[in-house]
Amino acid sequence: MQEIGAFVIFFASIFTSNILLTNFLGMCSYLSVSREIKTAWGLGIAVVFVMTITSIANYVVYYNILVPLKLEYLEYIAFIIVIAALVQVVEMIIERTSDRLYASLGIFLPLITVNCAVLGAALFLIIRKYDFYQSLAYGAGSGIGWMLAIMALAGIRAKMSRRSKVIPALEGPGIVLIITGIIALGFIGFSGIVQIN
Amino acid sequence: MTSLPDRPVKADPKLFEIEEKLRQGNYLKDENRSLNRLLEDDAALIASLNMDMAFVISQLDMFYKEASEGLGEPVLLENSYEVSFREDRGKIACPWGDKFFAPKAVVYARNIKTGATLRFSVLGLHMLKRHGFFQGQGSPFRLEPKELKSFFEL
Amino acid sequence: MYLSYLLPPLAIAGLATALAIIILLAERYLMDYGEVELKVNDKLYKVKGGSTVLSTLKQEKIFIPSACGGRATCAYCKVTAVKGFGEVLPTEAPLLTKEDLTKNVRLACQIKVKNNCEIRIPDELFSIREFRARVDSITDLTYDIKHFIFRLLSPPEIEYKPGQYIQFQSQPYGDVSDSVYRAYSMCGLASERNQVELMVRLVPEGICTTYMFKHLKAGNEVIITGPYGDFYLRDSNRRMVCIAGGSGMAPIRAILLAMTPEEIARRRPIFFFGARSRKDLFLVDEWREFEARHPAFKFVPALSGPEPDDDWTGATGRITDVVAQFVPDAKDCEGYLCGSPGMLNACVEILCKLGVDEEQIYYDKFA
Repeated sequence: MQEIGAFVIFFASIFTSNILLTNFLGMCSYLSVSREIKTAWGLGIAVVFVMTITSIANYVVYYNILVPLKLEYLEYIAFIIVIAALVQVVEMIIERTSDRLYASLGIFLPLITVNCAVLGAALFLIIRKYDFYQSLAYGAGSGIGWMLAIMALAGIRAKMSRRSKVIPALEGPGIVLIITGIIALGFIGFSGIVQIN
Repeated sequence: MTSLPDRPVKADPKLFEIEEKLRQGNYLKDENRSLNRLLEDDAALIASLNMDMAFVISQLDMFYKEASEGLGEPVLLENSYEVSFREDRGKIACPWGDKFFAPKAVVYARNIKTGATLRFSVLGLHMLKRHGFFQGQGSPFRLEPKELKSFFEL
Repeated sequence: MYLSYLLPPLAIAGLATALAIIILLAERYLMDYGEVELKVNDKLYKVKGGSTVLSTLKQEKIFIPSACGGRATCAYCKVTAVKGFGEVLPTEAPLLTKEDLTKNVRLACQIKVKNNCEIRIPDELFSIREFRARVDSITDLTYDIKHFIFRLLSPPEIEYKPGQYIQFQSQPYGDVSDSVYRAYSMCGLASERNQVELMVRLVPEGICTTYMFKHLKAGNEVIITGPYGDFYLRDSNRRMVCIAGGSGMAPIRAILLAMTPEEIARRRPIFFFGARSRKDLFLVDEWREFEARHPAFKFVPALSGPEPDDDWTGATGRITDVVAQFVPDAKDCEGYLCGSPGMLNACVEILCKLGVDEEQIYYDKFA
């Protein structure tokens, strides 16, 4: 995979290999926080933030600690600890620098610790053997892609809540999964532009 | 630092914040269910009881309006209900954070024909109307759907 | 050999320790704001940064009114943020009005002192103290109103204008895990500076009044802050029309008891007290005695719905109608009101109709 440029990976991870719409990772918060555009935006920003930082950190931990010690099989445990710790540090940095961002992200940041998309991104960049810059691009791109997907869904749900009549049995997660499937189909349209893996 | 919520990550996190405020304000007293679940359960209960909530809410609104004009005196409504009003000083902000400040007031109502009684707080009426929230089990001002149904003889 | 078993746990432990150290360092350097300067009106305070304005001011013995204790639900702790505070936070936004936003008014319990900053508060808040007091006596006035007397321990004396109120702090009990603060008007003689008297009516399911009625006993220690409020006697020659209902008698009583005989002769106060039936009336004898001592004073208890066995011969009907009947022309009068918001609105309306200038009707809005 060394031959793919970092920018291509960045672009592809947003559109063609969107972590949510092609791998369906991070679904629980995607389903539950997509009712309003404002909260979806808050969670989206937090995911972009955390995914970018943890991708780099996990890259460093994997290639500089686990590989030399031949402990690659510990990657799951190591990544989870790194993500949890970094979320705490990120939270403190935000609290110090911006009260407003802190108050609006406050409740989302701890939730991201258990967002599987964040762990998934870290694992993918190992499996796909990305180098440092590719990992950075992939982390940031996946975060933005996730945000894009949840914002799109929140927009649709906000519109639907006012105008559409949904069959009672499909209300809530049911119709959301159907919508997500259609959005995912729509995103296939991008696949002619770039393609990774 | 905020700690990790000790509940499944399946509901809107905004609801956690609201739930926290509702618990502190004693609106969920003995309720074991999460706020998300409670709202869904009550909505399902209303549907299964086949109640016209729009009618119930318009009646409660009318009770509140008529009773508050009585300044504590019981008011007779269409010879079928007697309502009275109890108000204390102070305001309570709606825990849902929607800029609504309820007076600290309670409306008491009696169905003259059946003798059934009902009481609700002004904040409780607002939360029912705007947020579909009946309050939790054991909460002092919970509006029990079954009681509403029998009170209005629906 | 052993190393291959020990290495994985050691590696994870090492990683966890390293991350813990990073978190601790971050906490040490990011969360410590050091000493900062907080300017309140024109006074400069050197305070430890990082806490909310409300708790920082409390450390400096400045008490901002607050009913919820800092949970951003009561909106009483409003202060004007002059400089050093960022944008409005999502937690406080629901409680701020449009006017607040244009005037930079913020909630003291939400904004934090992080660097040199400046706020403005009403000057009278500087004279507010926190008192430790002991419950001296609790007596029933009616079935749902009690009279509380608190003896002040430290500081030993309170100086206030009759008509002002204090904030009482409740303690956790039963299901209630929080301390809350509620405002009650003082009803005693302002010259008795070593004690505070309150009249409190039980609020249905009220957190603080239930505590005061069911859990507070003579001898218990309590915390009160005060005095607050701008409801007190204004100096003029106009006749005083006082109207109260229920525990609203408290500030009116404090005001009337503190007046000198000459003042009473000059201001000719008339005091309307509205109740539903005889069981809601209290202290009638005390007021009759007061009437006997001061011929210029008149007490008019009015029942809106007397029971058949009440034997009521006094004024009957809604309090607004009774006022109109006794004071048909109120052009030269001043209104002093205390009661439920609904009653206040109705009384302001009727007094204006009877000729009182709305500027000269005083009542407590309780912040």
